[in-house]
Amino acid sequence: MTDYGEQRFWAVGGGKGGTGKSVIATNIAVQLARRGKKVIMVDADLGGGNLHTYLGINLPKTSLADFLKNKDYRLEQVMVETPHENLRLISDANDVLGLANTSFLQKERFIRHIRNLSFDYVIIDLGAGTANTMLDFFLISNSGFLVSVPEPAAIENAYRFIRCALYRRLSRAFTDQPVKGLVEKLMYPRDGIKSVYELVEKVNEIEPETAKEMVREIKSFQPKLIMNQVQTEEDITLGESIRDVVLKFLGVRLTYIGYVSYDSRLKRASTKRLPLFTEFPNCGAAICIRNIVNKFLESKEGHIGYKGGGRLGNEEGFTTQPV
Amino acid sequence: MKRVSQLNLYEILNLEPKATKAEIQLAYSRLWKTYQPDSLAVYSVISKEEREDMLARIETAYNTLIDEMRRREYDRSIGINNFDVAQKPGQSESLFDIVKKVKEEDEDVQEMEKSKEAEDTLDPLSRNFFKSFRLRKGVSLIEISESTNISLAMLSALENGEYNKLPGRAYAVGFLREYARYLGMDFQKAKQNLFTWAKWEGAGL
Ligand SMILES: Nc1ncnc2c1ncn2[C@@H]1O[C@H](COP(=O)(O)OP(=O)(O)OP(=O)(O)O)[C@@H](O)[C@H]1O
Ligand SMILES: [Mg+2]
Repeated sequence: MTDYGEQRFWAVGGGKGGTGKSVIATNIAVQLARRGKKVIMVDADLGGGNLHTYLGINLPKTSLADFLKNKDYRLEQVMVETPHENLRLISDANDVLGLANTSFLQKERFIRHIRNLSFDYVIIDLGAGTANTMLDFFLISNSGFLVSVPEPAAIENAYRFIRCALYRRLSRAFTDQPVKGLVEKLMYPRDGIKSVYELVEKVNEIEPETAKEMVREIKSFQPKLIMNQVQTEEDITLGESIRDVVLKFLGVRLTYIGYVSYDSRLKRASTKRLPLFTEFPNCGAAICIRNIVNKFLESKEGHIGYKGGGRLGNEEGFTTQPV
Repeated sequence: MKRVSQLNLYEILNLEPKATKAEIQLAYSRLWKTYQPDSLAVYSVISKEEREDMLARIETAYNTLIDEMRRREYDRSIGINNFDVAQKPGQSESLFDIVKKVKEEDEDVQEMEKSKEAEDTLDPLSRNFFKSFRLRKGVSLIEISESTNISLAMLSALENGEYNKLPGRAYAVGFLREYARYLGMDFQKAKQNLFTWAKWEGAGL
């Protein structure tokens, strides 16, 4: 388990592009900052980052990639102020290749450094897709939020994201043969292993102790679903349906933590490049996000000091004690 | 972690063994929808066979658990002692209907709301103020009910001006306070609205 001390590390991702990850991440960060928490946002969008725009600032000159590529850089050098008190940004600054090829150790160094800074919350905005960098940040976080919208393609990608993240987690945790080979087959269900259930059963046949560990590993992966741009009651309950399918067929405990209504003013604000929630702090979408943050902060997991989540297998710096 | 084929009937419906009839009904209606051919939730992730198998299990679970005799028999067969499950009379049977009613009404109003989206201010004293306010926030009554522990029937009565269904003035104000707080609605204005209309209805609060 990764020990962040009191610091909370939240990642916002979810496969499909344009679902509202950045809008939601920005708003969560602004909400927390307004409550007097010290917050840092990290744009990890592999070259497509636009958090600076959403926060109403010009493209910063430095980026996360500078820090990752240069051992001498300190994080303070790549952070910029935002118009919001208590909220800083580490931008993505149109870095085209840097992040995509980051090694695990580079990411680990980043986590280590950010942990040493006195931020209460680290909010990392992931780009679309299931690149390993996205998955790793998602898995390293204490809490990973998955943003989807009520459209077939977005839901399909959310399922894919969950499957890929689980696969990544298992393949990092089980690096010894023969289990390693079995895990690899999970990604090719056509001629390999069709589900995590089958995987656990197969592992159980050869190494019962490892199978138990694997079950623990799977159970501790608990992404949070946010349905964005909902317009009907049906869109809202769709989140419940997704939760059920994920639990029963992917074996993953997805929590449906809330929805955000479709809000035309939000759309207008972003097309005009207005900083979103300074423009409409009380639009429906902002209130929905406030509800989600409230609800989550009240939950055990949202509580500062909660020690769960944040596991990416037995890498250096990350222990693998059973949860 | 269990395969679908290993889940008991309660697990199929995501219910606790002591679930009430109303909970069984609600779970059934949600899951039945989840596994329909046109459901967005199953698109791309499970096969037709898996989906149909799941539907059959949901059907069996519902038919067994909703029937007291069969449920008792089933409980015994899996070692659950459920005979003193308390069904709150009157309330549980109608909950499902209320949920359905609320939902249909919400959709109507939502249509209405969309057509007058340009209009930005709601009149806090208007008849429809509570519901319109809530719908603009995109919050469902079910959600408020879950969070405040006020029953759907009460919330629905409050919203629809059926004040005679509320247990009295003090309760109505209490419910309204929770309701307003959840929605971030100005409580004083909300109270004014309540008193305006409640008097007008002659509900004797
Ligand atoms: N609830 C909402 N109501 C209306 N518009 C929304 C809502 N959420 C997001 N949008 C709009 O959708 C667009 C995409 O949002 P955003 O940039 O947050 O998506 P993203 O998931 O971060 O995209 P990418 O994958 O490209 O990073 C923006 O124009 C934004 O204003
Ligand atoms: Mg984005």
